[in-house]
Amino acid sequence: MRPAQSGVRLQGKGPLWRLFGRVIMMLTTLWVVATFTFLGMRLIPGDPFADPKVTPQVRENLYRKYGLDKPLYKQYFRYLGNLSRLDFGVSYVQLGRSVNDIIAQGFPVSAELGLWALLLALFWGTLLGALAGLYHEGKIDRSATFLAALGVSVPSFILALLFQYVFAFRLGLFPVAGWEGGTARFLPALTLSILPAATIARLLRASILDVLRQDYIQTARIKGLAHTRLLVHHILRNAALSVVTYLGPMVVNITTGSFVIETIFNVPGLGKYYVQSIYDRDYTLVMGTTVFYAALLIVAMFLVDIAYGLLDPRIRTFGAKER
Amino acid sequence: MRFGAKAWFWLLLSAPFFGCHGGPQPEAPRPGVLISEIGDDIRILDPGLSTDSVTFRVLTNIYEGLTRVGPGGRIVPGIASKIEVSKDKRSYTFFLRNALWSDGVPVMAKDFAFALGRVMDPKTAAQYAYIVTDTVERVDVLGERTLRILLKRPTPYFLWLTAFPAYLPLRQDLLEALGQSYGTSPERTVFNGPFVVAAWKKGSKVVLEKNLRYWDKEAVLLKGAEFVVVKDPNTLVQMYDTGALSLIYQVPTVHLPRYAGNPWLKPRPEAVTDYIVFNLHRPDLKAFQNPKIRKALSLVLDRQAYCANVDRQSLPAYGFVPPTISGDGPGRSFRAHFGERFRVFYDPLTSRPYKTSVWFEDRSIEEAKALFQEGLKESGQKELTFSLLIDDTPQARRLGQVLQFFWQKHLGVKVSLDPVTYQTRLARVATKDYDAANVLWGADYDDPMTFLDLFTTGSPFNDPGFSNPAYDALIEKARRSSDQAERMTLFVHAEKLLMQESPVVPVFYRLSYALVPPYLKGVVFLACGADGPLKWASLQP
Amino acid sequence: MAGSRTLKASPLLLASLLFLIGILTLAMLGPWLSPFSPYEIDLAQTNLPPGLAHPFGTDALGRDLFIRAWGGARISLFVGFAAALIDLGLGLMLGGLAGYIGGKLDTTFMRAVEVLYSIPYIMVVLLLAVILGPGVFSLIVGMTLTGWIPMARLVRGEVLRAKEEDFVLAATAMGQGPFRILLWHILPNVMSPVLVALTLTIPQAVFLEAFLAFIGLGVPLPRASLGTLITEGARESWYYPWQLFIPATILCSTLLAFNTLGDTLRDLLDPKRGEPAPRPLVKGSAEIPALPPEKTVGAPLLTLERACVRFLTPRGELPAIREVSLTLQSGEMLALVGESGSGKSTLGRSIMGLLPKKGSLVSGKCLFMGQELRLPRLGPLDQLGKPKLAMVFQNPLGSLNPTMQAGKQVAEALVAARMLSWAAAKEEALHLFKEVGIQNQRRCFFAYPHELSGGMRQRVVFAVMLALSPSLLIADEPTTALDVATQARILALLTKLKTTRGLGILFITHNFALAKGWADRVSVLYAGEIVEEGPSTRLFQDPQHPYTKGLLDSIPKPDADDPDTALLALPGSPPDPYTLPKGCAFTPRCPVARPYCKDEPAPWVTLQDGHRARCFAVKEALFL
Repeated sequence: MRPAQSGVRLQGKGPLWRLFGRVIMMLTTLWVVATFTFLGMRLIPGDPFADPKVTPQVRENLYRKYGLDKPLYKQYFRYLGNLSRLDFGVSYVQLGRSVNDIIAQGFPVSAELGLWALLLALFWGTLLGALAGLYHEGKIDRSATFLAALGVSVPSFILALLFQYVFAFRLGLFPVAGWEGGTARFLPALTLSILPAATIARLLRASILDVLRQDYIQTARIKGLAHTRLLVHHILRNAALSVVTYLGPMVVNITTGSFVIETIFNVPGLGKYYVQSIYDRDYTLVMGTTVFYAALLIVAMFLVDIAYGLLDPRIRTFGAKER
Repeated sequence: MRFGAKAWFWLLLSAPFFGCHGGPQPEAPRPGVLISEIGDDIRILDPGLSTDSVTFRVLTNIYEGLTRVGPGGRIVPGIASKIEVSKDKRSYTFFLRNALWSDGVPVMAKDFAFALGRVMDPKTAAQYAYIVTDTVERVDVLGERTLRILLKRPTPYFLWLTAFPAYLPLRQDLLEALGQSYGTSPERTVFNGPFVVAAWKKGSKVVLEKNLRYWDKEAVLLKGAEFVVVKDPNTLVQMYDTGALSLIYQVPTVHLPRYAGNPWLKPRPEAVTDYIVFNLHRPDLKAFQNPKIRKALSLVLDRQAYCANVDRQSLPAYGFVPPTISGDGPGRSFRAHFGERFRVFYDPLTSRPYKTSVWFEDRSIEEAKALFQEGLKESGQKELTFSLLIDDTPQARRLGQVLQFFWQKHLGVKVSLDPVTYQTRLARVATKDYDAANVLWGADYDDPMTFLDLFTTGSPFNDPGFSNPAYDALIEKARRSSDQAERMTLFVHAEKLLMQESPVVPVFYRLSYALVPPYLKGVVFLACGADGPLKWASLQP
Repeated sequence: MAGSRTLKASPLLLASLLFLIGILTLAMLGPWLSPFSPYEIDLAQTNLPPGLAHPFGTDALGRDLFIRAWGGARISLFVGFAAALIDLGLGLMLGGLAGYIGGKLDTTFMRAVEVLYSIPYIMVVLLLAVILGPGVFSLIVGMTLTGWIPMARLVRGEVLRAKEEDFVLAATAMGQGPFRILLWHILPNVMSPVLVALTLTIPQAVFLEAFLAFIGLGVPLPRASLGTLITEGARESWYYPWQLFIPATILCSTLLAFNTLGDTLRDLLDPKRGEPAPRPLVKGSAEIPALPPEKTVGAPLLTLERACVRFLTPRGELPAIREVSLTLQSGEMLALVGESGSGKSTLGRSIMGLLPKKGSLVSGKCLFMGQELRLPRLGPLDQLGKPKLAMVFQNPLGSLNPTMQAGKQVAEALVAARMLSWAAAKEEALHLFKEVGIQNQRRCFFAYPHELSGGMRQRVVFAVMLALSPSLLIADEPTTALDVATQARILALLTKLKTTRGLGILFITHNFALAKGWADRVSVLYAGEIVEEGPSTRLFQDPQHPYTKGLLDSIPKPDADDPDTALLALPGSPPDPYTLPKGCAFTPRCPVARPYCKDEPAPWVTLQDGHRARCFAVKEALFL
């Protein structure tokens, strides 16, 4: 269990001041990520306009059009300036489409897929984890623990191929791929949910075992509380804390799209664009999606901290986390 | 599966979904609507800026140029109802028919002139600008419906070019009103082809409907067409097998075994040569400047075994121009009719014979070894070590490993493979930052010139940096000639010279297949340019 | 940790270890098991199914898949081990320094980690693959570039914790250098969670390598890791399934074995578990069948008759309580005194039915108001409408749910035990707060436990227990975690409750001075047995058992009430509970031990007023 005094705390300052500090910190992180991405993309050889049919003359024209002929520092400041106006620029490869537009197209799809997967993962993860933790050392625990270990041991592309083959192709229960209609969402969501579900189950099991050793559970048992109240208010409520910490980054990962799953199941989400844009050297799209991802992640971490504060009265501070 | 098991399965897996979704089921295909696939989403509904074959496949169905390429690769009338060609074959005058844009505005000569001018303008930065600028000298609007195009030199395949996306018309008023956003959605453009775009669900599908203002709408039999974006090859065939698609333009290589012997599998013309290019300007690789070395490297490959057992989707290549490119007329393959020695190779899948002219034979290992030793002596090198730049694709990885193995085994050449992304490979080859590379070239138009003029001195696509005055002279002569018989002779000489010098080593010609059910008729497949027009297609239940 | 015993104790651990050793051996020996070379291309033998010549079949280029699979396993495992070890090294170094030095360095470290976490690692790995060229080396560097972070965070947390431990503080006070302390005192103590993390990092690295191979960033051709083979096989898996499923099975089962190994190790090494997990020997545990209800009038509040508690552990049977009999009357405070490990807490918990469900064997009789209690009882105790037991634990913070307001914890007990409505329960809770001496009851009601002082928390715990209107209160070291002044006030409160409510109190303590000051009667527990008992006045004036005597002698007389000096301190150390003698367990430390003390059970010798002791020496002294 976490000790009462947390490691890092901005003590003696008001919550508004702490919020301000946190926001500054978040912006700094974003700036570092943006700069790193900018430099990183320029370090990778390759060229967004290296099409076999592009003559040097045409390439020069394209460079001029997109401002790539300017010195690097000028490009950098222009890029930062645009970022500050939330303008990620125009894609070099997907003609005429702005990066904002591509994100606006792809993200809702990835987010929807992610949310279904999240629901599945929470349901199965909590169920398995709770069963394993509460029936510790029994057959249920062993089966649930094995399932969870299996879940973190099978890479998603193998799972995706397997599910697609068995459930869609052989049994015909679901469409093979696509994003049309409710049933099409099922297999990608299921595949995407396995790893987080298994992780949640493992975390929750460990956490429940930890909580069960605490004296306050004995106190609660002595009180003669009803099963549900004991389970929900005393065991799960406290065991959930460790899961919440994991949930923040996981939600961002799962909702910004998985390249593998979106490709295999042909889902028009953001994950597909992300890897593709790196391959295409589509500078603006890579930078836009990276910064977008980082921003989401940072906000999610912030929300996790707030949620943590709400769930755990011992932590009532913006950002200062321990361990 | 028994009811019980199935019910349990659903119950268990869908528990968290209860009460929270009732999304639309996939609609049943509407009668008269063809559902087919595109391997990636289209980029933009703007012919002047499009470069990829996927976008071309949609564009050819929603726009109409001065001409159109029809069944068998023949030129058929498009917006131009009459074409006059001057005696020197450099001036073409087009007389436009009364055709309308989908918003009811008539298609005018100025629409073509504006489109061509825009593509030629460096500020537009159109990637396909060269296909216009290399050929077209000037465009004049002679009347509302009269257009004259003056060429830089006689170009036998010019009427084929006028069907190419870069030559398609464009409405100046719309472009100026919409600016950057022109063509980014169906509402932000107009059409003049057999179909119009009813919906573009980005990343998922493009829905076409018959254009009721099309000048030749009686010829169009389909009510509409859908192009579903399917990137994964497994998904593609599963969708086909489960009836979600009724046409696959190009069956993925990996799934060809599945359709071997299937009568619906149709070979379709494809004009792509896969070849090895050697960098002739590496000071540290003097050996590459010796034709004997390059020839030896070419001779040790077992092209026939590779095509039959590994690739299963190609014909071995002993010349540079693929067999699907026409020679002196439509249906007259250059490869089959012009050359010195001929052999017949069979399509590994359908056993269809291809008569092809060859300039050398492979598996002449002893000859290769001797040549290699001579070459090494001449270039003063003791051994040869180099890196082969390949694409990061499964096919290229396989070929790379086969090349690596044969070169090492027979010639003792040490090769490291450098798989890079497509964009990186193109950039590194263009800047001559490589030793040797495995590259492909696909035809831009249906003429041997599109392959053979690559290696003239100063050509922007001369990857090896090859420079041979005799070769340059032959190609230049062919360019200026308007006599097909003379051109063919010149091309044969040029190709023979190219194979003797071997700055590039052809490996195979790609074959490809479409899956066309018997109830679908009239889909036109083309080797190059905008493939797959559905203008004449029909579904007969 | 006794290795062989651990292996025997966990078949899962043994199985996963054996499996991994098997995989490793095959990966190492692979090249000698097949006549083929992994790189020999044979264009006439492509895509052959598994058979005699090629046990795993051949791939698209006619290469033997058996040798390629094991060669691939070797590369994958090498990448996994190398990446995990580098992660470990970096994590130990950076996390250790950040945690140990703390301050600005630590803050900077945490900030840097936060930034690093926000960069998608695919981009980092891609960047490196391009800059360093593809290869095993750049793969490992790319993976460790962000991979060390979780390890460093873990180490930092463990170091922060270890830094506060007594032995580290002592070493610091003795003037040892920081690196020496880090190396010799802190690192050995953080190793077990780190070891667990390591076993779980290896599969993660192997997993990541497979993923990177899938998106085209694997080892250089023609070499192939398992990830490369899977990627190659996945393409045509419907037609040549063995090309996918053989390497996929090897990969998944290896990962599963590693994860299982890590999980089992974590369970075994987890310091929070204290003792190794008790495991059941007999199904259903020993429960004494209920006796027919007797007349309860006049019976003592609590009677234990020959109560025994044994735990089943991987080391064998652990007798925690051995034939303890005692009685407690209403309105009486009985102090149960003993060293830590003497079994006094176990006794308290066993009366409450709070022992682990599995692995505890309980026998003997426990009568509460003349009614038999079935031990151990499971789940929440159903106490509705029955005479009640209540128990207070040593650490008041740990006894309260940290995420629930203090008042609510009292109120919910009232709702459950007395069927009150929530509004009535709240009123009653405020009354109870007043009764246990809380000044600002309303503020306290809405406070979370961590916001209260130690004494206040313990008062809240008392309020929770009083909410049950118990007849018997077991107070397990209720004042140990508190300062001296608060101790006295809490004990005064207990005494008050004893008289006002007629509570019977079983006061468990290791502090003789407290027992002497507050208890009516005292029982001295040694190694799970009662060695002496009696009214506290008598027992302290005239201690009989050599153990009691030794303890009382060790209390400095002038200020015997000072708890710091009144701690039980006796020459020698408590006995090993697994190897107790048949006779008196105190024999090895006893100044007056007879030769036969070790082998024969000592007899009870009864003195006056219920004062009795269990010792040969006492018996002989009386009858001589």
